[in-house]
Amino acid sequence: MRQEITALLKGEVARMIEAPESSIDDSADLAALGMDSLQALQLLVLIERTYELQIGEEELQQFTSIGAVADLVMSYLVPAKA
Amino acid sequence: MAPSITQLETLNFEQVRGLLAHRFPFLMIDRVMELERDKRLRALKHVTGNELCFVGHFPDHAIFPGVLILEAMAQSVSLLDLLSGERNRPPAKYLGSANAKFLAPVVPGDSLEIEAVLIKQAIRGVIGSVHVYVQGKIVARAEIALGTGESI
Repeated sequence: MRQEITALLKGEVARMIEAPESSIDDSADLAALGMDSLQALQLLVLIERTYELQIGEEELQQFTSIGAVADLVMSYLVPAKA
Repeated sequence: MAPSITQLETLNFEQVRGLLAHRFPFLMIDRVMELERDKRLRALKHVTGNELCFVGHFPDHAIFPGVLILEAMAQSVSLLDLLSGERNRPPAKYLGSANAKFLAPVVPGDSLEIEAVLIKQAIRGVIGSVHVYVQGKIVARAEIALGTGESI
């Protein structure tokens, strides 16, 4: 499940920052990659739609890397194991 | 007992102008016919043959430019953002992205009915979904992200 989430996030981030997926590391700082706060908001909406979740905007603070966002999504999908 | 009818809020042109920073010839909302704060609005933009854009778009065949329809859609989202939530931040008026489709030409005499739905609000921006109709027929749709202009 986490792999699927990571793949989705990486594809979307690559599209947003116009970089090849292969150049994006899961632990890379999203802001350093050139992602801005509005793109982070768009990523949040994509996650909400894909996984039918409601995520508060305060969680945008967790959008530091693809790995961190994947962890966040997992915590919503599998709260007991988070 | 008859069901109660909720009177939706409306805004006239002066109220719209009091909220948006845009001015002639770039104020693209004439009126808000229905407003449900935090949810949606329905706005009106009358397209007349006197629009400045028709001088050049096109001299022999007036077509309202798609970019101005997009501007009208963006302003409707910006307006809905301003009228929703209780956040104290600069207005979201900078276009970040727009996934748009233009489905039919708009010409002088058309009235654009712009339906904007709030998708997500945040401290740095807003995302809205917009559909534009002329006489009930859809002419454009877009998902629009507007930022406040402040960095991450």
